[in-house]
Amino acid sequence: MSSNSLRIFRKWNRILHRDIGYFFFGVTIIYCISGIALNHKNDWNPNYEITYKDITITDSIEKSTVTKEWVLTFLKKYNEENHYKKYFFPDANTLKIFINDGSISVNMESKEGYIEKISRRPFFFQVNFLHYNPGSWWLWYSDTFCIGMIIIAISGLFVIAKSKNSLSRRGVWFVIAGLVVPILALFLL
Amino acid sequence: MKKTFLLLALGAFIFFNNTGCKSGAKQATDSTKVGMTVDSFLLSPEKWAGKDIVIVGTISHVCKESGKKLFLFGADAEKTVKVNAGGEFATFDIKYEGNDIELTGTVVEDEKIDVNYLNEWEADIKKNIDDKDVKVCTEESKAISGQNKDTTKANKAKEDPYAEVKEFRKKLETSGKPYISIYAINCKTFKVIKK
Repeated sequence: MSSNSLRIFRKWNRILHRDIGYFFFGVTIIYCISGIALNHKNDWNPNYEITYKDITITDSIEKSTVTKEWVLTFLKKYNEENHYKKYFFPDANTLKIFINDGSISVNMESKEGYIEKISRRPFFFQVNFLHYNPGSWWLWYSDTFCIGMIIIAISGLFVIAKSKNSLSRRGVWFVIAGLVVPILALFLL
Repeated sequence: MKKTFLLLALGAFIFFNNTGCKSGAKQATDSTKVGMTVDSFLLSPEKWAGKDIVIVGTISHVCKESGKKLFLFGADAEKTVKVNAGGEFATFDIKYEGNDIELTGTVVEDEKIDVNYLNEWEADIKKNIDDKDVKVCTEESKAISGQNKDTTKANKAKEDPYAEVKEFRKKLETSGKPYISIYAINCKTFKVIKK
């Protein structure tokens, strides 16, 4: 490569690296934050905050006597009568009542149960929603983002001109070290 | 500089406001149309394998971890069918739990019940019995049980928490096959049925 073509290459390489980096700054942060949140989904629920409150029923409940009116009276005790959606019996001993943003489960035999309340985690719910690929045009936008990331990664290798920090000297060792980790993971995990 | 920050703040505001009301996938539209019931589907799910169906039922549960699956029931709440997210719904929002819906999707072979699967199922039941404070999600096994034709014996042995697993073991042995197929529906779209 002549020195002039090399100069033009370096100029356009810098422009692409810089401007694609600027453009995808926001979505990179979105994918990284949601990536961390979803990586740890065994330790926490990244989308919802779920709370449980144990309850004990004093009166006995018979499946045959449970009606919508009965359920509404029952909900009054917990100030949930205005949030009623539906009730059903998932098995012979359980009464489940759906309320807005949660449900109430009662074991009719043991008279014990719990109120489950669910609320969206602000910010995380939204970024995870995008990470899960909601389809339509976002699919193409996220594909474009991935291509952008590839361009940023490759152009990043050539941003520094020939010096002690360029790819051919110091950089190559970092590139190799970065590749060793996923290769090791393939053997060790 | 001040203008740039204002622009960024405005962009963030629009983004979170829009996704805030639409998130959890698309908004399910209301409908009064009626399709096949969950109970009639469960009579012979294999008949619909690979085909598109329209099914009506009530959402008993949406997976809170991933939002990638929900469970529908019909007249018999003890029998459910699993629905995998897809089509217009990348994930299902929990807010749809308890709603009656009309769902369009493709019937697929979702699980292969073999010896390993039954061993894991047994271990899950044991975990549930050992630690009553752990609220283990039992919806998946319930959806599988819903496709077990011989539920009468299992119901008789209700006191035995392993009854379903034993029933499947017996079924697997007599079938002579390495596994039993369990069917689910891959969602294309759904609508909330207006009361």
